[in-house]
This record gives sequence, structure tokens and C-alpha cells, in this order.
Amino acid sequence: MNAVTADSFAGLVGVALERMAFVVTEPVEQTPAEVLVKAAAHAVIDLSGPRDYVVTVSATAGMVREIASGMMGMDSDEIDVDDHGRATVGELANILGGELVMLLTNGDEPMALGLPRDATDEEAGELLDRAQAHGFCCVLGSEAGSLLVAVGER
Amino acid sequence: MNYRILIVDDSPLLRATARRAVLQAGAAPENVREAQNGREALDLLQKQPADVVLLDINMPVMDGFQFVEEKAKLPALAGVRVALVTTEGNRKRLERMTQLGVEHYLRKPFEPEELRSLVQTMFEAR
Repeated sequence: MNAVTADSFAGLVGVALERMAFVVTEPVEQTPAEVLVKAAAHAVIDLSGPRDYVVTVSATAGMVREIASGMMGMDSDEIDVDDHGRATVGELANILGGELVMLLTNGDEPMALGLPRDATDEEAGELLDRAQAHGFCCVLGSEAGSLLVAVGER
Repeated sequence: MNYRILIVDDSPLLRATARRAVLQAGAAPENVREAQNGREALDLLQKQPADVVLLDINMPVMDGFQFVEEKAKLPALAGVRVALVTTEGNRKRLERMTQLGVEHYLRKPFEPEELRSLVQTMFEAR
């Protein structure tokens, strides 16, 4: 399996957001904990294979609006975060989980991606702690909001 | 255009994105249907076939692999063409899908224009 770093994964996250939703992001000074407390929604997805991982995606309301509006071709003020927040971070977890599988395996080794599920603030906090101890995390920001992606080993 | 499309994805966000691309490719809104998983898609197709299915793989209830295997057993659905729109990238699994008749593959994350172009290609080849 390939080695993956926070920087290499953050690059993929940025490209994914730009391709799918025309959202331009860059690394920001905020700490993961600062983004976590501002997040409007969290989603988690499990990866299982030679090594097991869990990916947690947390997005602020502004980031949810920017991604959802970009993907659906709507104005961001038409996006209701209560309606679209879970679906947005859930699909983002699915996409970023798939990207991590490809980064780890190049498509050559069997690795299963689970289904994305919602996470509470508390669970997202616990998974962030795990990622900081045994994994990595990246924080990206745009003009509208922030995104935290935490990758921890199971 | 009279092409009938079925979008199969458990994500409402992806279904909305795909619907937009399909309409931009020229499909009539009344000819675009949606299903949340493979089981629901098979049920819809058995009531009314589609020309093109845009299929996610990673779904609850019945995933895209199971859908393609079940569809291959149903002669009435032999003319229904399938394109995978998925995060899946494992070569062996994708080869298996090709063996079962899947014609096209678009990996997430994609640009909306790529999906529109894929659908147009499938329409033109029909």
C-alpha cells in the first residue's frame, strides 16, 4: 500500500471540490478543533482492507452551501443547510473515501468502502482525536467556509 | 429527445447533479427517473425499461454490482445500457462489470461537463 500524507491528501480534496462543485479552496490557519466546533454537519465512512481507516468529513454551513450549490447549479442562498448538510458531507465522505482508496492501492488491491453515515459532534470529536493520534487531518477553506477531513487508522 | 434515463444513486445530491447533466444533454424531464438503490432500479425497469442507466456502486439495499448481475439474468432488460458513475476504482471489479455488459465508466469526482458528455455519447451511439 502507498503511504499517504496530510499534504498529498489535502491536494486531492482540493481537486475533488474544484472538479465536482467549482469550489476553490486552500489550506487555512484554523485548527481542526476550531473548524469542528463551527461545523454544521459531519459524515463518516469506513475503509477496510489490508489496513482499516475511518474518514470523517465536517463542513461549516458556508462550505455546505458552496459545495451543494456548485454541484446542483443553484445559488448558494437557495441552499437550506438543514436540508442539504447531511447529504453534502455524506457524498463528500463517499468521494473522498474513494480517493483515499485509490491513493492507497492504485486500484490494484482489494479495499472496501463502506456507506457514509451521519456523525454527532461528539463522535466527530472522538474521531478527530484518533486521527491526530494515528493518522492525519487537513483543513481547507474557501471564501464561504471551512472543511475538515480527518483520516484515522482503525 | 425521447431517451429514457434512470439515475441510480443513494445520494440526493448526486441524483440532482446527474439530473441536471442529463437535461443539459437534451433529455426531456419527463423521461428522467431516479432510484435510490439497485433493488428500486430493477423494480422501476421491470415496469418501464430505460435506454440508459447511470449507476452508482456503493449503495445500501442492493449495490451496483448486484444490480448489474441481476440485470444480466433478465432478458427483457438486455437493451438497457449501463454507465457506472462511481468512486469505485478497483480494476478487477471494474473488469467484472465490463464482462457483464457495462459499457461506460465515469469515476467520481467528475466535472459536470464530463457527465453531460458521457450521456450525449450514449445517446448518439444508440
